[in-house]
Amino acid sequence: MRVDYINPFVEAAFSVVEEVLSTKVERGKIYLKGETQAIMGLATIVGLAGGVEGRVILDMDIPTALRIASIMNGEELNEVDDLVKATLTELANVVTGVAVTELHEKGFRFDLTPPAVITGENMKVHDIGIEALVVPMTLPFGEIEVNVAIKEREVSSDG
Amino acid sequence: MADVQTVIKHTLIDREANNALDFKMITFVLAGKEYGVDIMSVKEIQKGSRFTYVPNAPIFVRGVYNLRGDIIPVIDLRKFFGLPEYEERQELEDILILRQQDSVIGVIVDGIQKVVGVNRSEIQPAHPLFADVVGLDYIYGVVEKDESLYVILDTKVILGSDKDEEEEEEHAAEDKGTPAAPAPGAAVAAPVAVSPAPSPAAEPASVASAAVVVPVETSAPSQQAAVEAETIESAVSEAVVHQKEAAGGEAVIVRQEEAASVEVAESEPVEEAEMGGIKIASGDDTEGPSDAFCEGLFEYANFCPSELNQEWLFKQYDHWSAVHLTTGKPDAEEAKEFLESFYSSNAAKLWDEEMVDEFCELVAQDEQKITHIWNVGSGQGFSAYSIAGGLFLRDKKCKVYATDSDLLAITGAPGLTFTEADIPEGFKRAMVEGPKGWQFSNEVKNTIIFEYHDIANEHSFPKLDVVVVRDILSFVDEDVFMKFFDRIFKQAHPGTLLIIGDNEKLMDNSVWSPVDSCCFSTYRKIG
Repeated sequence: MRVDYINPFVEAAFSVVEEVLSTKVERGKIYLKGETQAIMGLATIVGLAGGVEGRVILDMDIPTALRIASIMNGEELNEVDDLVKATLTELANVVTGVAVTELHEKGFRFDLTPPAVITGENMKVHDIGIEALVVPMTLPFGEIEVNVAIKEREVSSDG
Repeated sequence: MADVQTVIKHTLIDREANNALDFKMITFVLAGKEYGVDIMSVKEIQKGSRFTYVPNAPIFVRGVYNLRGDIIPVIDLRKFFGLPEYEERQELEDILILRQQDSVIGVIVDGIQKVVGVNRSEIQPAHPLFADVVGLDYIYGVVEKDESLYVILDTKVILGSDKDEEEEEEHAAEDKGTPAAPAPGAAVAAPVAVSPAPSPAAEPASVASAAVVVPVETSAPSQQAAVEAETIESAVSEAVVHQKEAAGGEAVIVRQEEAASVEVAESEPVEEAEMGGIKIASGDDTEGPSDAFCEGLFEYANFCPSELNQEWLFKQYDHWSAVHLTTGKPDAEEAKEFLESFYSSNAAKLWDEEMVDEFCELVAQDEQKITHIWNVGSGQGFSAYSIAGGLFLRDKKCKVYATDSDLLAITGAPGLTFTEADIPEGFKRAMVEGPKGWQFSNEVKNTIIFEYHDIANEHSFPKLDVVVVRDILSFVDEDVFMKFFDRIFKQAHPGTLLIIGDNEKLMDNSVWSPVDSCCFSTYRKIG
């Protein structure tokens, strides 16, 4: 993953989550993951297109997801319903949007695809020919992993 | 199997059906007669010659054929039916590639004609009289169209998927004790599908998909037949292996004389082809450091003794053991000291003039072209800047992908600054002085993409002309090492340069040949 992309995503993840949830977020150690990665329980995916190809995943377990959705909506939510899903896609959108805006200012052109939510147990993500940057964040009530995989679009011309 | 009843039923039911052409067949000539096969069982039509001979295979197996990377068996239909050889045989013969579920097989015929559409209801069961050259079992039916009579062959039977039938035939043959020579009719019965056993080296997937139809000689008792089938099996898989090698650029021709000793060709050369031409010798413990010593090097410095660094390791150990007492597991300090002389020259600073000159000469290319360079383990970026700066000063275009798995080092690389004293004279022209010190100009920086990447993971590059991977491969385990070579083998093209650490050396192999160089341990990919 190109180093220029790392900071915008890390910064966006922390600033957005801290602001939206008004809570303290502890940074984990950033690392790379290979092709196959397990998903904790609920994941939102935003695709990246344009000058690059890739995706951003916000990965968390269900209780954490419910907590986040409850805080963001200002009411207690106890099951993964449409409202919870909509809230989390919004979070993913904001995180990715902030990062992409910052990259845009640096001259990188990214497009976003609409987010999707995936829930289930024992799921894995497979990315072919691409590794993922993982930014772990620890909240008082759970953990979120921001998982970013971006590949430069292959340019065929030599010029 | 020619299911006569089904055909009759079809005939009855479909008699009044419309005259739609619902059965298309590909027609061909064999020994002056016209035959057809269901077009749905034909994968494609090919012309081919010089099939790789398979030792000990039945007489009608012409060999194996490389169908765009898939190795398929090829049978000669004339021989299969016990017909005399085709006298007007052309250099390139017509092959029908038949497919039945997972098995694909090539069938050589005298000549392929055309596609003929008929109505299923017109197909009539074969009369025993048609079975003069082709066994009745192989006939699906007959049909007349445009004044030609076509005998439709049942590819299912030819491909040998009808198990019950085989067994029956086998028993029948046993009982009768018919002569060994393949004669028309009964003698060509009993096809046995043999899937070659997965050979240790060749990818079993493609081999397994090529089931070979092998009729067991009718006179042989079943036990012997089984033994024979086994030899054929191994023979086929061997031949497949050879064909694979040939496809991989290393032409190995199995000649008929060699055929007798099939087992001779062992898996050694195949291994090479498999792993991108690279292999690691396992335990070659003649002398040199003990296992415990190596363990210490791994534990404290992550150093993995292998073929790559064996020469250096043994030499260094000689020096070491002359002055040190530790021959068992070294401690952290000792491991560090031991490895001090391992690292390549100018590993953590800009390259000197001589190295840059030599490097640029090695990659010398058309000036218009962009040289794509992967600098693995770039760390803080010294080597990447040396490469990009050096080529920039010589007016050569390049794109450097500088990767490292050390997040801190690589994220700092784009902003790396130098003090004046650290800069070899030649580089100054490519640099600018800023408030914090000297940096490379944006023109140079723009040619480098710094990436956070671990070579244990996948990563694809648009193109690779040069791979610079100094002192990295001695610090990864065998699995990653193999994966790395497999990857660059796939992504590199003939002529791609590989530069490894000064004290690293590839053992002889068929892919990377050493290049003379005084500053680098360099290899070039052979075409």
